[in-house]
Amino acid sequence: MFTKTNKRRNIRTVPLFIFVSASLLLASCAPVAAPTAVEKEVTRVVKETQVVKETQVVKETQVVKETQVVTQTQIVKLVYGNLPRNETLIIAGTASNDVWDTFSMMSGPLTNAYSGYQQVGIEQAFLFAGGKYYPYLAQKWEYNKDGTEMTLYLTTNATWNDGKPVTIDDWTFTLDYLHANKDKGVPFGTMLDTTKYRTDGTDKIIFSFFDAKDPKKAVPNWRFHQSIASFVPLAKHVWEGQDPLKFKNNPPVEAGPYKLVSCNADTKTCIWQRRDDYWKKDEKLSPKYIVFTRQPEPDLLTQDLISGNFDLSQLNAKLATTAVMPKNPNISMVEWPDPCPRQLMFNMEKAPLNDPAIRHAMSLLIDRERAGKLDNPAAKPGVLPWPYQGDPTSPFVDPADLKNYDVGVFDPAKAAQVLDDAGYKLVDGKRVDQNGKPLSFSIMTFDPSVHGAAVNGFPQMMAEEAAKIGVEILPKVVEVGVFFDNAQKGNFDMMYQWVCGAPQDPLAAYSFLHSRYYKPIGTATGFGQHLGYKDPATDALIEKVEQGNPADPALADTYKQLFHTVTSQWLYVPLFSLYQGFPWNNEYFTGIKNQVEPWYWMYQFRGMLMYIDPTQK
Amino acid sequence: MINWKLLLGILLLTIILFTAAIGPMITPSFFPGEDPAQVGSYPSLESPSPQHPLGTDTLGRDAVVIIINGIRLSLVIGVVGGIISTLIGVTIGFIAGYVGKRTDTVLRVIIDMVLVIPVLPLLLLMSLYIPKWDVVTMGVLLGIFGWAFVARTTRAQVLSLRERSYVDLARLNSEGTLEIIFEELLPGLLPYIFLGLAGAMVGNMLIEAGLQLIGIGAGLPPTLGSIMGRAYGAGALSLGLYGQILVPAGILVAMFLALNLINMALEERFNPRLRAFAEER
Amino acid sequence: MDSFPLRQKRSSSQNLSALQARLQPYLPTAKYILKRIGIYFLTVLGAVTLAFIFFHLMPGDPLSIVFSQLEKTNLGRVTGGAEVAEAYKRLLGLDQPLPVQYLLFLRNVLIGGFDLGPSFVAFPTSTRDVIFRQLPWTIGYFTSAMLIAWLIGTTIGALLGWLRRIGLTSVAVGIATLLNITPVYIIAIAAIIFFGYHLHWLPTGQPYDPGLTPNWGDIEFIKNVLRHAIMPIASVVLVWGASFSLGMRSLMISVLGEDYLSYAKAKGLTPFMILRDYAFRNALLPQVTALGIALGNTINGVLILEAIFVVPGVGGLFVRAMAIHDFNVMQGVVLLSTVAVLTLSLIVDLLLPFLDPRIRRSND
Repeated sequence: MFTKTNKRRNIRTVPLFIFVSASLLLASCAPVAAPTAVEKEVTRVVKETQVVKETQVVKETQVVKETQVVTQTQIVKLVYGNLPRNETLIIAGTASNDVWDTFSMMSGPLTNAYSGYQQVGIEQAFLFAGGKYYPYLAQKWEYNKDGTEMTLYLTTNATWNDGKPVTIDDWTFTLDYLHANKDKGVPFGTMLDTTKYRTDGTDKIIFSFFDAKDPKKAVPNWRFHQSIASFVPLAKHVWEGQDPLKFKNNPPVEAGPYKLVSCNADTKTCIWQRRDDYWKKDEKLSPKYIVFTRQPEPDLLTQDLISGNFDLSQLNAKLATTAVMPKNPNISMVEWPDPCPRQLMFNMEKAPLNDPAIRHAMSLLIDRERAGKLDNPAAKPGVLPWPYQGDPTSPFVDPADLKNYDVGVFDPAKAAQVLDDAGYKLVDGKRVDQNGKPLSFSIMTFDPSVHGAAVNGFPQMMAEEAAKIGVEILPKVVEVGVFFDNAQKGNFDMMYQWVCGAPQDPLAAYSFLHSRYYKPIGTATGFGQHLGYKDPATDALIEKVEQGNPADPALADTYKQLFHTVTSQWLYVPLFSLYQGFPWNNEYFTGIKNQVEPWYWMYQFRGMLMYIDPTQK
Repeated sequence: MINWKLLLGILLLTIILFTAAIGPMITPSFFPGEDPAQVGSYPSLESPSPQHPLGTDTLGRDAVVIIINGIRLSLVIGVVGGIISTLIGVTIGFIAGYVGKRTDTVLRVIIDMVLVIPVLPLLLLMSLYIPKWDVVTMGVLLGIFGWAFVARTTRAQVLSLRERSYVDLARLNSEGTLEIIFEELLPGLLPYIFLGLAGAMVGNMLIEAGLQLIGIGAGLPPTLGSIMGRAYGAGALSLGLYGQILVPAGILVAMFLALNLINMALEERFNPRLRAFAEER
Repeated sequence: MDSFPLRQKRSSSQNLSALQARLQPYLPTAKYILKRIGIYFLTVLGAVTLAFIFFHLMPGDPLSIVFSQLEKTNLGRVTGGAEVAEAYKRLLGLDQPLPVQYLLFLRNVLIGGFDLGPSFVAFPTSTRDVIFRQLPWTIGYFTSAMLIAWLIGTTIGALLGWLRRIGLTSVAVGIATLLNITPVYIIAIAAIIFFGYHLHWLPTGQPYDPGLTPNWGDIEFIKNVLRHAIMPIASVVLVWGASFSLGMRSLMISVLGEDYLSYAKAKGLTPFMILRDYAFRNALLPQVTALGIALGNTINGVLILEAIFVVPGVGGLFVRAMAIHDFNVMQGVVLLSTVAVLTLSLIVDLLLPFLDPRIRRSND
């Protein structure tokens, strides 16, 4: 019985084993060469490389590479195929998505912010950098006397990178196109709901503003230039008839100074080449090529930086100063303040957080100095809801408010005093409210890998201090998605937030407090504020600022009143001003400025490109 | 006869368990007047020094202290997850394998379905909706997703054992079902169950570490996995903080090794054929 | 004990009975195969349904989470928010009632050829296209690595089991145990730093030199791809090879204790014949099952590795999709991985009866 079956088996065993393994191996390898997606990519890139040059050059490159290692002479190193290193600026970014074949900003947030498209591909009306507007596709703007009309003067000699001129037709096409697609959530899509435009047919567009409910009623809008500055007109001959959410605009036809050479989803690398026919002749554009690639994990990035593979990237300052800079003297650290200082928000719909005294005490319990040091570079203790360089003096702030309401002050003893005065007594080591309920609050933050360690650390330090005065604080670190879900539903006691006021016009630091954004707890829809705050007096102040002219010095008083409202009631309290650190490689390009604009932040990149110099190496 | 495998395994395991139990009581005495496990007690990512032999972590805590505290937290995840998955898995696998027929088919489909759901992605997804992580939640979740593998191996083993001659013999001797299960099948299965449990325990700790590496499990107290994950995310290797990755990894390895050794020793003792083999040697 | 009990009573016509008698030995196998395929389709349907339930019954509106998060991470330079989310909801058909969504989902996945709508992580490329763009890399790197690991591991494991009496093997077993438990990312990072940055032997990260034009007909390009693949594949092979060899070793040891081996020995078969025809064969069976499961679960294993080696595969894609809560892509990857394991375990199960007659018998 055994023998019979076994004999039959004997023959099959080994071949079957080999056959199975081999066929599985084959099956797994086959698709590598087969899928059409890859082939599609091949043809595209091959077509594009005609711009550069073909096989002969590549062969030379390899020879040069080898000799360079041996002789160490003046021969220029070649990178990314055949780009001379000394003419190539290499940026390693932290793209949050995988969009490497689409060059469009129509899909709102779903664009790749690190492909170089928004940095050097596009051209905006103006560049706002260092508190100044620089003219690009538009030259200047003029408001009429009462601010109900604004005239925009366009640049007339601009050209698209396919050689065609940028005309006023492209502008009006774009305005109408965006409006027609407003239900798809395109940028500026709703602008024409409250704005009309007319042109003189050559270089002037006149915008007039009206009330959304009553189109005949003209209203002032003194901030229109702030939004139109980032307007990017579309090439009519490219975009006409396209679905904004599906059109890939590849290769991108834009008016910016660099043209796409190739963009590869496998290596996450886009190569851009300076346009010889760029229309703005006085623009300083040192790098001939700019490469945008994705930066690897910190340990590997460190090695890349030591080898000088990247000119600009984002890295923990501690790592840069201890591991990179001693080994590569060309690297220096650049820091810039995050445009949105972090704040602690309260759910004022929940008692007893509706009592300003509690919020005051909470603010006094935050050791901003110590928590800030957890970050590299260290986060600075926050005072104002907009970025500032250490000195909180501002025309929009009354210094007395800073002192009277302990803005940014850490003083646990005073916190206990405040609570005592407000009637929160200590019973058996626990502080209770009027109903005898112990004080206990949670603080919602999210993972430190997203916004740094200080954000993760301060609630735990606060909990320690609060315990000493009989208050329970529960740090609640949640996943990012849970954070936003809870924030939208008002499902929190206190939460960490960021407020992005502009130093010149800090409207955004207050506008979200307007009752029109108020949403009661539990309503998940919409992006309003779930802070439980409604106050007609504050509404009136916000409306006054909204309709006022930011250039008008009289507005500063209203701003001061708003700052007073927030600080005297502790509607929200400052945490930190975060700093971001970037290692910069001075070997090929130099002159980077410290403590200025965020370099990588989309179009802001151009602010940096304006002044860096090649090292002539 | 003293079995060195058993001895070494138990020794290793005891050292780890002892450290986990006693360590947190002893460590504070090395840091008078400070709380070394408190966020922000020291600057973050300090290099190793006599005061901090493994440096400090991203949140400014002493790495040695949090690693010692982390053993216990990781053990909770491992034990909770391991026991849950082994219990569910062995029960279902056994029923499927022993009862056979329709029951087997149905259970088989269920096992296959749970087995093929990729655990990591689903845990990632679930993590979006878990209001607050703690080690027990993590352990339970890992256990719930991890039982299918145990079930599958148990089923296969039972299927194969069921057909063996000694089980047939037992049947011919008209032994009862329970007798067959407990006297003939389970002893044969025991090593697999124990190995499965050991594997599941350490496996769960490692999965947790993997989750931490891709940034999931926010809010968990510092487990061995999250210590490794944080250190890796901060570039610990370049900072010279090798210990913050290698020591937690080493502890996990030692734990697995210990469980494996014990299992091997038990297998030799209780599996009659292997015992014969061991004695023959 | 006859292997194939006769069932001639069931035959109705005499004509057929001859044919049936000839087919008789194969009938149980055929029945087994049919049953297995039936179960396969049931399981696929169940898995698709599970995936749908998972992604659609979760609390919270996925789109508003995507958009509010992106709005915040892009520091406000995004227009809209709620309105944009609404627009995309319409685009994705998420405004329909759930049962309708489920039916549409079934249709799109099963009949529409894995159509899961647009991806967000690579917008506006469709989920299907972006997954199939990345998939060849994952398969090429990690599935092949797994197969290599299995071949090497099984061979070494069999040898270790066979030579269990030789003291030296315990050193090998010790090394394998250590490798098996060492997290693969530690090996990966160590390899990158040592071979990549210190010795400059091998390139790190990227599937090929950036700047090269992908051309699968060019031998130089393929060489470049292979050079880049050495380290990722080697780290998988080290860890998984160790795991497979340990599994194979213990299987061998347990098989070697079986009675029929003593019987075979008594029959006077040479040790090599016993190894090849009895021990190896019987131990191979669970090992094949283990390979099927390991292959299908590749996705679990590559999430971290792909991030470390910057491989453009589905694991890295999933992590990025996860980071921005791109439910379509997450769903697609989960589904794909599910179907992959199911299909592989189907193949394994269909092969089992040829490897082990006991299974063939027990399933009739």
